Formats: sequence, C-alpha cells, structure tokens
Amino acid sequence: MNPVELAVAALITAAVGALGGLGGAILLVPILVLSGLSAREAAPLGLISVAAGSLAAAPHQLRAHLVNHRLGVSTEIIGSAAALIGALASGIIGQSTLAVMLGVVALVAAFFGARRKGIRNRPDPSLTIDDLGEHAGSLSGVYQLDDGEFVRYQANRVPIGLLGMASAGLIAGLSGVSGGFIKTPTTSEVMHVPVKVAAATTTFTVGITSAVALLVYEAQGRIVVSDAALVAGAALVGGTFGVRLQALLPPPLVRKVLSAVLVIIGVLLIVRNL
Amino acid sequence: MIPGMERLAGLMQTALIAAFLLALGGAFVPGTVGHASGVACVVLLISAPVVRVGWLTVEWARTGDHRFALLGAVLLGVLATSGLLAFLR
Repeated sequence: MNPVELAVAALITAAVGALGGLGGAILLVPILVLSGLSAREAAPLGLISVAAGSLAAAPHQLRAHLVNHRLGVSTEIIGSAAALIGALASGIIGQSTLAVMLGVVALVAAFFGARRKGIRNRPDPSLTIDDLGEHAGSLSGVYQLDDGEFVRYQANRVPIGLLGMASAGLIAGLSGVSGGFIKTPTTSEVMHVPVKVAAATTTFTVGITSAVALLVYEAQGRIVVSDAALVAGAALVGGTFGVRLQALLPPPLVRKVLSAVLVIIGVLLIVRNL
Repeated sequence: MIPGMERLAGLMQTALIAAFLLALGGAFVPGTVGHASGVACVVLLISAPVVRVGWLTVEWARTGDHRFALLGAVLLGVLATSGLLAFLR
C-alpha cells in the first residue's frame, strides 16, 4: 500500500468509524492486513488511528456534554490494565493467529453493530438545559436529543459491564483494533446508557486504551514514525469530519452498512489465514 | 456550558490542531526535523487522553467529588505502571 492509499484508507475508516461509533481501526487494520501488511505492523497504525479519532472527537463531544467521564474513568481502569496485558502478549502470538483473530473480531463487530438499538430512555419534560451533562458523585446524567428534548440516564449492571471492558481492552492490546465495538454495545445494551452517550464515552476511553498499548508498541520498536504521522493526520481529519456527520445521518443506517463491510473483511481474513 | 468543561474542550481543540500540524510535518518534511515532528505527534496522541484524565481528577478533587477523584488517580496509576512496564521490559 503506497502512502496515498494509506492516507485515504485512514481518512475514510476514521470518518466511517466515527459515524458508526465503532472506531476506525476495526476497519483500517483488516484493510491493511488484506493489502499485505503483517498484523504486527498493522496493529500500531490501527491504534494511532484510534488515538487520533478520539482526540478529533473530543472538542465537539465535550461541548455537547455527550461524554460521561465518571463512567469512562471507572470502567477504563480495568480496560487499560487488560490492554497492557494484551499488548505485552501480542509479541508472542503468531501472524496467522492474529489475522484469524481479527477476522473473528470483525464478524463480532458486525453482529453487535447490526443489532444495536436506537433510543432506550424516554425524554423527561421536567428537565432543562441546566440539568444537561453528567452528575457529580454518580454514574448518571442528562443528555439532549436532536429535537431538543432532555433524557435522564443511569448506568446499571456495572460489574457485568466491567467484564465487557476487560475483554475490549485485551483485544485492543492484542490486535491493535479499538475495543469500541465491544465497549459501546456493552455500555448501551448491558449498562443501559443511551447510545449517543455510550458512543461518546467509548470514544473517550478508547483514546486511553490506545495510549497504553501504543506505549508498549513504542517500547517494542514497532511504530514506524512516518507511517504513523500519515495515519494520524488523515485520521484527525476523518474523525473530525465523521463526528460532525454523525449528527446529520441516521446511525442505524450507517451501522448496517458498516456491518456488511465488516462481514466481508472478516470472512476474507479468516479464509485467507486458516 | 460548565466553565471547566469549556476549558477542557479548548485544551483538546488546541491539542487537535497541534497534532495535525505535527502529523503533517512527520509525513511530509524529510530528515530529522520531519522525524522529530512525527515523534512529537505520536507523543501528543498518547499524552492527550492522559492529560484529560489528570485534568478531570484535579477538577473532581477540587469540587469535592472525592470518590471519582480517587478513581481518576487509580487510572493514572495504571497508566503510569503501564508506561513503566513497557519501557523496563
């Protein structure tokens, strides 16, 4: 893959990843592997893309009060610890094993992306703009729907959610894909946090997870600086563009298209490496 | 918007612009300057979420949300341990 193709792939996958709330690396890493890069080389570039996408989304999501930082920090302790273990173990796992694992991960992501639901919590007319945002001392908050109404939410079943975060961190460290495709559905479907808040909180936490794994990759000498810079620049643009578009397009449609692409990538990766 | 959150959003906006400029340098400027720019971009991408957690931890401690300030400190501890283990290994 030449530099132009790499930049275009990083830009498009970061934009699509931000749109679907899954993170761009779940698309970028399999594409890089299919284009001939080894899974070990593709993993750091995937995490650079995740870190860049997370930073690109931050200003908009912070101003929209979409991120629940208390929930993110609480769940990320176990997620980051698992990412460290995964990244340390990734050097001793074979190429084809990693590629097949990525294929399975892509299929799982497709499944979760396709089955994710829309709005679960109902608007509360008694809430105002003053209630907007996360609430101090708890894993709860209020967010605003596109039509201006406000919705109250509270994170439930936190211990089960933590198991999901541990799995996501382990996979992120092992394979270089963002664990977002596990984190967002876990936060939304298991912990009953609204999808928009779940996606924004996940975008915050995958930045932390990727930072941990990138430290390990840097220590292992696996980051090619020129390629990383190219991917970072493209993913920053793509992520910024994607998070703006997210507000305009219907997420269920985007997730269904993304799921179809992931199924194709996953099947190709598994068939080619078994 | 909560003033503290506006400041954090501004900080992230600045980091975003800086990371983009450094990425351009790393990708297109030849030689040691380009390499240094690329390295700085990677360092910024790694440090931005850590700075964000640090900022939140201080903010929560300052506003009396001690339980979550403690969790933030634990997460920073995990991140520091990760960095230490990565480079000692």
